[in-house]
Amino acid sequence: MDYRNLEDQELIYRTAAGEKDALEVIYTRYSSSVYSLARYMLRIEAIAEEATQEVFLNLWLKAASYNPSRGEPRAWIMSIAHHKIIDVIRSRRRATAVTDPKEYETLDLLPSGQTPTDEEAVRCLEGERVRRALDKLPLAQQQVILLSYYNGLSQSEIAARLGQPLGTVKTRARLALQKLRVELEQDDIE
Amino acid sequence: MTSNSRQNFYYSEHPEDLLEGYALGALDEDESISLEAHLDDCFHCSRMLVGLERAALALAQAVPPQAAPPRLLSRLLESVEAQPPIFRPNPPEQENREASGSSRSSSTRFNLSSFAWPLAATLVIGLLSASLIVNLLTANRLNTLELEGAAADVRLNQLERGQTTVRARLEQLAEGNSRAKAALKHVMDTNYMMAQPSTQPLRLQPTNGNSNSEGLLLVTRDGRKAVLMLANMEQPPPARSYQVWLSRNGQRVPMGTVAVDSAGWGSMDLNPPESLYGFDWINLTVEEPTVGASPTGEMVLQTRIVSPAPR
Repeated sequence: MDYRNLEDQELIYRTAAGEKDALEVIYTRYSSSVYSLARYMLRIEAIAEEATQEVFLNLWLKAASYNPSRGEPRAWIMSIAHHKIIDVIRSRRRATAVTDPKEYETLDLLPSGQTPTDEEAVRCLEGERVRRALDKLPLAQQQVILLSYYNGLSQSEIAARLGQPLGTVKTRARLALQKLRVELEQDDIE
Repeated sequence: MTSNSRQNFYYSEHPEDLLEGYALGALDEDESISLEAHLDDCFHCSRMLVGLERAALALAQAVPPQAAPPRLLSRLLESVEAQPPIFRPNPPEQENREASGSSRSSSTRFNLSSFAWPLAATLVIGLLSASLIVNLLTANRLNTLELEGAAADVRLNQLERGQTTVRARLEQLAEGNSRAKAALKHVMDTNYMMAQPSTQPLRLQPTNGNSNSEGLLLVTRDGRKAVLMLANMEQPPPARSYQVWLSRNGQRVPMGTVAVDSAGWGSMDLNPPESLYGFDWINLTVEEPTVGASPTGEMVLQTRIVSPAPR
């Protein structure tokens, strides 16, 4: 059987049944997305590699817990990856008090200057699209999205850092993600 | 997803206010574990999360692309070799294959005698006819139920979207109200300080000689409270803001960001961690949204902090 022709959902079911070839195809489809996010958020190559491997090992072990009502496979896989990467960030932060300013430098969502492959070109466009949607949010809401999603800060940590009440940070996070969702959906329609 | 140990925690209501934080990965670990336990059983919250996770997925896909090193796959396959998946349900095809295989083997064992064939054939035809009628009736009923279910789903989606819009609007109003209250308190505090004869004024000068920007810092006598007012400021570049810093012997303490309006006016309260007179300088720089431990952007205004003359 050629697993490469199977849909993601079927591959997840087969991974849950212990079929390594299915996991290998999932890896081929998603390793670049997972590794890019890990490399971007963790910044250190070796740690990003380790986190990427753990994400796919988690998928192998827990594929049976996938529930289609919780969203499409791509969103499910990237959600697992993002939560895993945040776990790594937080455990590292607990282990060493991070003082390096680079840890918090501005997030550059624009693509690198290398010649892109087709997949990279599509993702560059996606990056531009998200950057445009983010630019439409008020600065305070952008800040909450960037600090939480890419820097792995919890809402209480963001409140402490910005000197704002926790309730304000939660409200900003809610409004920001809802508006971002609407902006991206409108962009899809246009 | 954040931990292997799940708690059996149930909310008395739908914890919808946690969903955005969860999609952004911004919940504390215990909140995250509790919510995941709830999501396993709650269709309503799971559905709401699907749309939010789609927006979060866009954020994940917006980072600069990088190919995973080839060695990672072989490392992964080695790890996988040692650990079987936690659950191993048979995929549907395999189950079917096994089921049909077992029925074939049992049929070979079953040997009908010749006199039983007519009776068996009559029984089979009777049963097939009955099951055909029941199937037709059931199929009709199922179709009707599916159509009704789809219509209900559409209506439910519309209601949920309407509810989300109303909630977002209410939250915007609440945030606006809270901002107005904070602004009023700020004005009252500023007036009070200006009326106090012991208040020390410090004027912030532009670092660029061609700039008309200016700042005025009003400091209480003990230096524990201050108000910074800015005038003639240019709007900061997109996605940047003005950041206030206190400095002493090369050590810098961020004091927060200050927004300026279209007329170039801005104002903020300062509550320094210790007396402001313990610091040497106050600076204003243009910074990115994520502020580091020290300024990286252009300095716009500054002044040396001078202690008030003893009374």
